[in-house]
Amino acid sequence: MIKTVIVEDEKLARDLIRDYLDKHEDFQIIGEYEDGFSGLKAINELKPDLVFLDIQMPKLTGFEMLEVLEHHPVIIFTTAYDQYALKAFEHNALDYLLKPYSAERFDEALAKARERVKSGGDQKSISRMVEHRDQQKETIHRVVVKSRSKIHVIPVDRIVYLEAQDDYVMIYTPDSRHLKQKTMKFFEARLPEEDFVRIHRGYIVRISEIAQMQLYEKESYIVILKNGVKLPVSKTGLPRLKAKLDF
Amino acid sequence: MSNPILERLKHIYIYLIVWIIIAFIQALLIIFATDVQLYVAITDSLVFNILYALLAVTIWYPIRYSNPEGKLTFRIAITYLVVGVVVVTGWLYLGYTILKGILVNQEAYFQFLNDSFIARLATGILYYGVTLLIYHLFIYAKELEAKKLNETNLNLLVKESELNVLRSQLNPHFLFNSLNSISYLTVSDPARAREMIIKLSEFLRYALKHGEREKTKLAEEISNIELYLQIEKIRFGDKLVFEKEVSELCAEGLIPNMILQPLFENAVKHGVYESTEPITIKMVCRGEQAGMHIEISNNYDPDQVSRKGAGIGLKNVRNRLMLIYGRDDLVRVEKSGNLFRVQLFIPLAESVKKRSENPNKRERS
Repeated sequence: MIKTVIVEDEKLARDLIRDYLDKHEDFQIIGEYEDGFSGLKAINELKPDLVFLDIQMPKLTGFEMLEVLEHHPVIIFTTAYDQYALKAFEHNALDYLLKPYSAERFDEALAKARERVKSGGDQKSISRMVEHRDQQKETIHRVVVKSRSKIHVIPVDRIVYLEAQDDYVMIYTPDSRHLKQKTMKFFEARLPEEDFVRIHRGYIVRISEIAQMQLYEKESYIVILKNGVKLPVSKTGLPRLKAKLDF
Repeated sequence: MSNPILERLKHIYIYLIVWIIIAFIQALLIIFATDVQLYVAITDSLVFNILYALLAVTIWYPIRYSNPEGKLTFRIAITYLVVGVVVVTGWLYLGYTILKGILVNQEAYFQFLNDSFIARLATGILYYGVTLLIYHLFIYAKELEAKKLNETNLNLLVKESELNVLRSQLNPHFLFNSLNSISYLTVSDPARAREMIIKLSEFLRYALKHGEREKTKLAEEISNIELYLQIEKIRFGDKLVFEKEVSELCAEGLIPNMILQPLFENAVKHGVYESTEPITIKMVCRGEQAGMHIEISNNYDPDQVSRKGAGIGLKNVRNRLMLIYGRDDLVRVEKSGNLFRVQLFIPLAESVKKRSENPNKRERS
């Protein structure tokens, strides 16, 4: 039996998959979820072999889910229309279904999935997909992180500053901090340019959180944030900071 | 606008050539009319014409500053008269003084100079008149050019916004998702599938009709929006609730075609698509003497992180209203608590007329 999960926000679209899947007796639907958040939790807990995953969903998009999956099932993406998604699917996904799709097309995707489940899953597709998304330099509005078994969605509006920690970035909000496996370069390119500035190899700061700038020893500066945190400003960071603060 | 004579090298050349010809003719006339020596006649002609050529260049500035629009009113006529008196008097005074200073012992010539005063005065007035005329022709040509450019820009903007409206109407995400739902219903619930196909067709037909007429009755627009919302409701069920309060006066009022559609699409996209809880989209319209107040609001998931992108639809609405009514203050957006609210004001025909009487002026500022 191939354990299958459907993550899709429309009831009729879920019913359609259920209907198409009905005649394939080796597949068993073990759960249906209507938003990215509950879908993500279920995948990590139930560890299905196959997931039908919609891209546009409440709370978490299909792509955001990929970033924090602990269990890596075989995924068949379903989407109506999304130019960015299509590009990501084309070379990286095992298969994807464009709505509306025929039973024949569905069976074809299912045959591929069956093969892949038998040969031991699909770790590669997911990491390739995440990599592909990382190359797209679109501005982000939220960051999805996991700490132990919990998933947090951090709105970019709440980020105070970021600190580099080896292969990770520590994200500081007013009341918490979260580790995310991404580079500073990733965030530098994607956080809204008008709100954030990289003041140091190791720090990106929200401009409106800066309380003051101080001369520290000769020719080197530090910034003091509104919450009292002091951060160093590097030689390359200084002109960037000055440009953003207009002085 | 810069001085049309000094504006280009070519204009300066033409100007000089014209004055050389005039000066030549005047010198000839003096020789034929009197028996002064050749060099005296040439000096006379050069002094007067060089003086006027210089003065004529400066006349541009009082014209330009007293009358930037190139119009002719009583006040401006007085200004021109004063400038004319100053210029012609100054010209004659300088001319006479200079000539009497550089030509000595030419009694016969001085006699001629005095006798020809009236002729010279007439020449000065003629010159002044011609200068004014030429400058005005210049201003007129420039205005015409600017107006044409303005019109082209406006047309371009209209086309562009029409294209945007069309694109947003045939929202592919909505279309393909609806077709996907229908695809399931054809087997499980054929009657509902048929209902949905009919609604979708009616909605698309209305969208394609846009462009035929610019404005439509609010009631008609609302019935199309209800079609759209019913289709979304087939997809999302109880997650989507629609309420409306529209006064009778409002229902009869004219609004730009499809102007509300992008706002409802936004409400669905950012409210319903992003939430797991029911979302209420509410429309209120109050009619007034001056126009209609339309408010569209929706609650949204408070946990939801703002996904920017609502901007394009709203921008299109704002641009279209600006083009049609010539006002950029007709859209107001408010976000408070977990309520998103867009307020529109649609001016009624009479108040529109007054506003759009002089749209070009507005553009220039």
